[in-house]
Parts: sequence; structure tokens; C-alpha cells
Amino acid sequence: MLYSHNLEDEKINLFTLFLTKAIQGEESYSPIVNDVILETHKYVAGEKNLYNINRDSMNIILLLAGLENDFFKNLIDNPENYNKETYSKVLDLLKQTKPQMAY
Amino acid sequence: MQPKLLELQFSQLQSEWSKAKYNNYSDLRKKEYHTKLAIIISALEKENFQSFDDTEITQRFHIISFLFKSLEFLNNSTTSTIPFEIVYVLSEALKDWSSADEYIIVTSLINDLNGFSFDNSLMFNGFIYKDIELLYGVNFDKRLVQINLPLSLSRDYLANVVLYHELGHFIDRKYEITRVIYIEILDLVASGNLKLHEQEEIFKYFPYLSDINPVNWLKDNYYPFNYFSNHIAEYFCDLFASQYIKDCSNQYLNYITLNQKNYSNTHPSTPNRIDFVEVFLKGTPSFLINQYKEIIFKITRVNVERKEKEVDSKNFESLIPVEIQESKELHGLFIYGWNVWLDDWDNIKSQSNIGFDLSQVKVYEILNNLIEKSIGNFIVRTEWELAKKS
Repeated sequence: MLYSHNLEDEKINLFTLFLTKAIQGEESYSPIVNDVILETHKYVAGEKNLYNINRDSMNIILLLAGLENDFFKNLIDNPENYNKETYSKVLDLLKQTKPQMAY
Repeated sequence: MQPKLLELQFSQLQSEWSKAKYNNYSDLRKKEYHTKLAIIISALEKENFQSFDDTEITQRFHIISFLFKSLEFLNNSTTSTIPFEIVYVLSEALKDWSSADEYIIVTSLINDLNGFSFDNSLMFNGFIYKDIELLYGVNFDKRLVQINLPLSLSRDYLANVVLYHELGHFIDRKYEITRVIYIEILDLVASGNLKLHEQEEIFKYFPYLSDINPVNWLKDNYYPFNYFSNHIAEYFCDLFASQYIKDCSNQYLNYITLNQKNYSNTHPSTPNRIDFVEVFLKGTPSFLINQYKEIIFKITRVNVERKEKEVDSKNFESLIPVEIQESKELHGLFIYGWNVWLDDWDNIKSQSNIGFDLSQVKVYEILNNLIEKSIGNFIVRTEWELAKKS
């Protein structure tokens, strides 16, 4: 095989791209990233669990929850309050992941 | 990132598209999908890649990769050698777990004797579909999934039972079942609260968990393809398949792995895999299988249970197809076929009154032909009944 490629890498790559777009002010990407961030908040706050979090972004949610639990726990429940600061923080967290954690 | 490399990738796609743009499909859903690809490619042709920054280049990289994969799947589906009977039966099994409207199944016949698989690469990344919709206004309401079969075994219904196991991988990825089982089992082991027999059972199927060091490492180092993930998934898929075909694939598995007694990075030992299925089929009390069943139900709301209806017939021995009454019997056909193959072939001689022995290759050809005919007849009858009602 010429290079390693798997679906989860691709998802994280795209999610990172969407965060960048949202930070750059492209508001159409905000709802997509907000959904994942809100789902992560609900998971760490105990409002959702392994059995009912979004399946498509589940691995990203669990990755983020493991990186900085408190940040997501303390987020407000209303994604309209998420802003460039929120997205930048999430992007910074993703950049810190070890290669294996990022699959 | 160089725009020139994006232009190279797009040129590759355009070259492929120049051959594929006139593809014909009998399936309207594939035609619609193809039309959507055309819209996106046309839009890409109008874009100025030289003006893109790295983010935009990366975005187009993913989109063009998606288009390539879609074309690959659609191109494979225009051939006339697709074994629609096996696709039909697997689709029936799929309906137990997922809405049939979500996907379009295509098949590819490949030059690999072990090449049974489902290619899910276009199924489970919702982000790419959202990005395409945002950029080009194109919404894909159905996604392509490809079943890969070995070319030389495409009409071998006895061997094709392994596709039920592969369908299990598809369901696993859709619902992220392995991920949950992974976390739950490690938590149980680490808790120290397991009863002795529960612990012994887990260590039997996952021997490395008896040492706390791997347990801690696995907790901190989840990876979709580490050995523990892989083993969980393989047990799940064997369990999944056995709902439809009982222990048919165990027979085949035992032979083609030469009863592999050691686990590998990708698969548990064959004896353990066979045992896991037998415990389920016999209804033997099992802590681990109950864990699997509970977790699967909590995620999918579908019970793990026998989903086939056995075919009570001597038709194959009489060299005629079986008249299938309901879709559950379609799965039972494979069990019946395997039973006849494994049984005394003199039964065929006496039941059919043919008066001579059949060679093994003739029994092989006849059995596969009869399974195929039985499925085909059911499809025709079902479609006819549907057409009459509408």
C-alpha cells in the first residue's frame, strides 16, 4: 500500500477543515462544528452516553472528551453562544493529539 | 500545498469521467447519483484552483477523492455479471438493521480468492456529504456501498455465506458497536467486580486481558485496528452472521484457516470463534454473549436472535429448486445447501432416481445452481405480486 488511509483520519481531517472555515468567518460551517461540539458537551455532562451519541462523529466526540473534559463540560448548552474562540480552542486540542490517537 | 497537484488529481478524474459520463444504468437511483456527480464535476471545472489556499485545496482533495470512489463503484455496477441473487438476500438481512432507502448496493468481482468484503468508504463520513452540499448545493439522499466478491466464486453460494459476516462489519461501522463493547469490557475487567466465571470467560476469548498491563494500555490507546478492537469486531460479525446462517460459515472458516489455534493481530483463534457461535446457537448461558446482546440492543434496538427460517425440504436431493415462502427462508436456503453438501450424496441419487453417481464437481454445480434458482424464483414471484398490487 502506498500510504495509510482510513475513514476516521478523513473525518478528523474534514472536521479540522470545517473548524478552520468557521474561524475564518464562513458561517455556513458553524452549524456542522456546533453539532459535534454540543454533542461532546452533552456527553461529558452526562446528558448523552455511549449508546445515543451521534454515531457518525462518535470517535471525534470521544477523542475531544478525552482531551479536555472540563472545557466541554463547562460549555453552555446553546450552540449560538459558540464562537471563534470556542472553535479555536477545539482546533488547538485536535492539533495536540498524538498520531495514534488521531488514528 | 501546490494547486498544480490538485490540478493533477482533477485531471485524473476528468480523464476517468470522459469514459464514464455516458454510462447506462437500469437502476434509476444510480442514474440520479451519476447526474449529481456530473453537476459537481461541472462546478469544479469552473473553479480557479490557482487561487486556492491550503484549506480549499484540502477540501477539493477530499471531494475529488469522493468523486473517484463513486465512479469506481458506479463503473463496476454497469457490468452484466452482477450476482443479483446474493445482493437480494443480503439486502433482506440488511433491512433488519437499517432502512433500505439509505443506500445503493453495487458489486465488484475481483481477482482475489479471499476478496469477500463490503467497501464502506462512501457510507459513513457524513462530513463529506455536508461539504458537497454547502459548496455545490448537491444533496445525496442515498449512499453507495460496494460488495466485493472473488470473481471465481461469484456464483458459489456455499462460500458466499461469508458475506453475512462481512455485512456484520458494515453494521458494526454504522452503529460503532465495537467501540462501545471495547470500552464496556475494559471497564468491567478493570473494575475488579467480575465474578470468577465471568472473568474466566472474558479471558478465554481475549487471553491478553488477564494481564492488567495490556488492559491499562488498551484503555489509553484506543485505535480502531488494534488487536482488541479487531477481535471484538470479529466475534461480533460471527455472531451477526450466525443469526442468518447458523454455523455454516464456521465449517468453511475451520477449513480455510486450517483451524488456526493462535490468535493474530486481526482475528481471534478459529476454535474460539467457532465456540463463540456455538454457545450462542445452543443458548448456553454466557456472560460475554449477554454483554454483546445487551450492548447491541441498546445501540440498535434490534435483538440478536435467530433470524432465519430453516427450509424443510428434499427438493435439492430431487434436483429441483425450493419454493421459498418468505424472506427468512432465503437465509435458510444456505443452511439447507450446506447440509446437503455435507451429507451423503447417495441421498441425491436415490431421491432423484437418476440412477448414477454424481461427481463432486457436479454436486457443487447443481447445488449452487439450485440455490440460485430458488432465490431467483422467489424474487420473480415477489416482484410479480408487488406489481399486481400497484
